Amino acid sequence: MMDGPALRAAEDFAHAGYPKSAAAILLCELDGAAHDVEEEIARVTALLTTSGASEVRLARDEDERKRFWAGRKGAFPAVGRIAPDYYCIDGTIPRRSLPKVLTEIGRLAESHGLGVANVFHAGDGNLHPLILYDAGKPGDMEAAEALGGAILELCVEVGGAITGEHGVGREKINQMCSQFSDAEREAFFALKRAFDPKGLLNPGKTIPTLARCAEYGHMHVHAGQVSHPHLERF
Amino acid sequence: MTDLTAQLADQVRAATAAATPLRIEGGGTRAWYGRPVDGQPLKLADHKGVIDYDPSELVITARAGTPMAEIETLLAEHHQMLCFEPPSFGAAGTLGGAVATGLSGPRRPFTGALRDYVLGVRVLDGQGEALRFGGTVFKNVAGFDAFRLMAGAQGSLGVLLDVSLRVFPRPRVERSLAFDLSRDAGRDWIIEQMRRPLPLSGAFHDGHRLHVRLSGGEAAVASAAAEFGGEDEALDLWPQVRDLTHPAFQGSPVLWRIALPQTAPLPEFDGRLAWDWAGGVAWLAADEIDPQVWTWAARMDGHATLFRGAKGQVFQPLASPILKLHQRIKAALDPASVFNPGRMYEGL
Repeated sequence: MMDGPALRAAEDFAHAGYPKSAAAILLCELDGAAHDVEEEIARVTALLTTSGASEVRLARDEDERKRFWAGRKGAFPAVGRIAPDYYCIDGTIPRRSLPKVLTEIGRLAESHGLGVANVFHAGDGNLHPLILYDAGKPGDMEAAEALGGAILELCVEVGGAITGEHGVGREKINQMCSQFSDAEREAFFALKRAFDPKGLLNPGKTIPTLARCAEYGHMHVHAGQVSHPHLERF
Repeated sequence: MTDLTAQLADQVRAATAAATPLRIEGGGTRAWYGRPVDGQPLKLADHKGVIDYDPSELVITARAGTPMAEIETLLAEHHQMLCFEPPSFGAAGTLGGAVATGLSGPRRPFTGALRDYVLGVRVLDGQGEALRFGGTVFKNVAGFDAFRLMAGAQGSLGVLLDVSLRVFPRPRVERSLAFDLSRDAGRDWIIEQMRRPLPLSGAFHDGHRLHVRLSGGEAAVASAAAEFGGEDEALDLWPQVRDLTHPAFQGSPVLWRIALPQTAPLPEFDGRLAWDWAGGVAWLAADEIDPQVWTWAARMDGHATLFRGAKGQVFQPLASPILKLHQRIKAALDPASVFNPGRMYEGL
């Protein structure tokens, strides 16, 4: 699925034939035995139409099928043409939260003073919001990182995850603190020690320490509660 | 619909404080699978109820004590199913028991094992702390996949409180076909067919004949069946294979399940031999335990489990470094070793 900004950038770049006035487009591919696919196309078309699609297009041949996908496959470089820099986020949400989350991402983007183009795997709720910014502008990169963090926390809030496919290394390690409790992080460390008792393998990656989470949470007061209230603060 | 998390956590904390082993019990239908545990019962059967099931999300979350029969009925009402086709050993069988034993049915080589469908769990660790690993979304690579560790861990790493499973739409059509092919010829043939995009969902050899199940769209099933030929048979063969009630598994004091690479030779021990999982698991019904089965399975890069007639050892013996790793993993989550100690191996 691509939202308006993403599909317009993709269309200008790849000339896939997307309707540029659409609020979003959903690409849907079916495979299998020919007769089964025909039946499924009829079902999917009916479903999309009753769900309010303004237009349903069926690829007439293999060339058109490839062109439909060319826009999606070129979406990342296409977005690279409309902003000097972009920051790609990777979070997962239950699909039923898609409308709510996309609306909220729009609001968060506005409050951070940045644009966002959304390109994502709709079938498994794996979002890739592309945050548009200009690394040459002072403060823009920090704002992009803060917006990225806020989007990932939103994913956790609706029951999703901070990364669907790209994982946690150094980047995103702070957001681990919003998905996992202290006890859960401790369990991860204990499991790591079972394999790596001396802590030699990529220390500091993947799982944040308590100190790191406390530092990350120092500004975030949720429902009148500072995070990690048991830690002494000076 | 009862949430007993608080009471269960109290029991676990008390057990850890007193270093009293706990025998985790669900419906009791899988108690035979593993070594006997000498401990106080920790009863999960009343911690039950479906917590969340939205058919459009293809995920179900339920408490560990929820009967599997209830889950399967609920899914069937929405034309959905569990792809790993879990065996049933009685109506009382629970979700927690199914996940803790990690057993999958005939569909497994075509769609994946139980552990592949576990998206998340909530467990009590040895401190009685409720930990959530994984979640309710398909794609989630944050943190270690500790939820997958729970599938097949036999309760040795924690008390399962609730589990989220990925579910799938039911196929529109299913058919079963029987063929007069030998064990070896049938295995070679099905391996060839698995390299093609065919709607296969079961391949079982009962020792005499090959049985193949097709599941999918009308056209795909019809065209594969027309090409295969064979003799149409009733689909109720497959629940018998899944639940081990088929005659191929019955009538002997000892029953071995030997998982092995699909292309490894079939075992040649005394007894009656059948295979399932398209030849990836051999079932040997024997009169007595021949420990050479374990040695042979290890040599084939496989593993053997005693499903009936075990005396002491049930599961494939582990190499010493692997057993030590298992012990360290258990100690990480259950330092006082209160959860089902000894159920899988002595000293674990």
